[in-house]
Amino acid sequence: MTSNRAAMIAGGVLAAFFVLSLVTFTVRSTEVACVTTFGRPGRPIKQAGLYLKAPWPIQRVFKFDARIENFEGKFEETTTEDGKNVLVMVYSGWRIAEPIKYLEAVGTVEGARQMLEGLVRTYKNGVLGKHPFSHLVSLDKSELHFEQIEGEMLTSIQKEARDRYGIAVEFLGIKMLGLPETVTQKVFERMIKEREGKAVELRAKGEAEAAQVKADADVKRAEILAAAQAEAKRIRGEADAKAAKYYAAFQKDPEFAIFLRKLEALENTTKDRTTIVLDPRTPPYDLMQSPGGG
Amino acid sequence: MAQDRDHELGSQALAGALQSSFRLLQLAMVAILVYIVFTGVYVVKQHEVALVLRLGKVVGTKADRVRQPGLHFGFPYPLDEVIRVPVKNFQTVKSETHWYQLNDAEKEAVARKEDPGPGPPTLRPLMDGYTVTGDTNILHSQWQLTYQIVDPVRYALDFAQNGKQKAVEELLRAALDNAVVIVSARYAADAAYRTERNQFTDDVVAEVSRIITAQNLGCSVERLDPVIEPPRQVKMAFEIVFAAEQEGDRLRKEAEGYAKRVVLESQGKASQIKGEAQGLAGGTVQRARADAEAFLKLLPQYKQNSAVIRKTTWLGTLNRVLANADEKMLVHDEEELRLQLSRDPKVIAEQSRKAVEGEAEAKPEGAPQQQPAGPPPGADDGHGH
Repeated sequence: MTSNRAAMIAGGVLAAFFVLSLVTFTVRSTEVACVTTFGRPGRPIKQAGLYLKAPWPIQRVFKFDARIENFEGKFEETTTEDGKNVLVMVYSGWRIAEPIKYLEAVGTVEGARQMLEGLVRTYKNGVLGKHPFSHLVSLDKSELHFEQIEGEMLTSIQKEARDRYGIAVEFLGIKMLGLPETVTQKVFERMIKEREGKAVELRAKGEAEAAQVKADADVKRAEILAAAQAEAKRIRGEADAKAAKYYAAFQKDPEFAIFLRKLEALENTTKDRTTIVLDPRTPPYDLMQSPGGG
Repeated sequence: MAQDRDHELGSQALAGALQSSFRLLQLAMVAILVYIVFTGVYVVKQHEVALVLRLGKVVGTKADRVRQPGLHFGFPYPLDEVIRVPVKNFQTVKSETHWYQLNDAEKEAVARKEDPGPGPPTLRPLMDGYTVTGDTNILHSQWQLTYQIVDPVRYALDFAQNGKQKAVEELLRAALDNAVVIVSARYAADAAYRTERNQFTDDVVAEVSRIITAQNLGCSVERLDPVIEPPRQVKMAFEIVFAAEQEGDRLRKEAEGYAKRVVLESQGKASQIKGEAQGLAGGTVQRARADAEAFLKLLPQYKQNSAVIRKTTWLGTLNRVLANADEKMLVHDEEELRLQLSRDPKVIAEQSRKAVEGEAEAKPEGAPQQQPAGPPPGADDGHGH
């Protein structure tokens, strides 16, 4: 009896689950849903939770992943305002915002990608056709308008994607920017020429700078030595001035002072390796001639 | 009777079979119940956080919906679903969008660690990736982005996942590619490749961080590791520039060395000049003082007897002069009287050396050896001739 009761309870629970599954459905926080009644789209559901519905075939639930998907367009050639051909690949993050519109116009992720491909191509060509090449590539930062270009594409695509396909394009960017294949060869030729010129310039610059450094050094040497000579002159001048104060004493008898200075000069100038030619009458050699001298 | 017995035996066997099947069913139901109950208990590991979806809806408020590491209880599956997000682990995304492709022969050459050659004359779209630089040159680069999840709710719930393919990772890679395109477009190729590579990388980090924040991808950039190369087709030209730069640097360094040496030498010379001047100046002053003092000392006596003082000082000086002189010649009206007194040993040695050298020069010519005409002047006994 007990076993039978348990079996009945289990059966009842299973039956209840089955009935519930026919008349309820859950929408995850990562999903949006759309309920159709005999094929006619009804309310869109954007909030997560448990919902009631009439059993199939009266009502049918279409659930879509509402999370952000990645879309990458084709790497295609387009022309800038100034007639330059460039290859551009645009990527974007998109999600389903209006489940009914999405169900009616697109239905699948693959379908959405195709729609976005068309939109991106149209607006990419349209926006880039209004900007010169220098807005994309330039050494002058003030010329670059990369973010503006991406912003213009995003704004245009966003509106149409939402209005027509129920798709919210959250963000957009340029993933690849290139040049037509034949142009790359010309770029290589230019790169080689630029670098050959640069090499010559660098070598010449090195030589010129080295010569300048050496010349500067020579000038500095001349300046240092001139300054030293001037300083030496000043030192000697000061010394002469100090000496002159002592020599003031000679004023007391200039004639005697000059005599003494002469003697000193005589002695100083005949100190080393001197040969003196003398008259024998010069003292003290005059004594060699007679005891009384000359 | 036999038929009844057979029927009874058959019924018993059927009842037995049903009973054992029912027991098996009971066991299975208990097992399912136990499984269901235990799926409500979960552990969040130390490097992750968890989010709980109850009937598809995130459980909790903004403040408490992220479950921290530890043991947690919830409702069993399928009521609750636990999503784990590894927030403490560093994640990486690699991009080779801007890199070139090698053909099989080139790959084999690389595997042998050989140069794969200059490659095709052009870059093929969608095969050879690259970026256009601000000077309309071309560079190849590949990047590895290391990031951390900072907003687990956004990262885990707001981006699609198709099997192992996570849209958020694709979008991070796209953001990185986007940043490289934008930053390359304002750098000269040589700067991005070599002279300002670190600044270039930093700018890409800043740009990719800006894009990730603007797109709210729920991550933060930890680091970025690039490999940047010029196209194989023009590699040699880059090497020529590098060599020229090295040569220029060498010349500059050489000149700087010269300049340093010249300046140091001239500074030394300047110090010497000043030192000599100072020495000389000191001597001048000292001498002047000594002269003045001697003069003043002698002056009173000179005033008393000028003739004697004059004569004695003169003779004293003359004595010293004559004593110091190396050679003195007394020239009479008709004859010459030569005296050599206290000869300087240096002068004697010099004269001897000259004499010997004169002999040595004469010898190789085979001239007969000659005795010097007389003793060297230094050997003189001090008497005149």
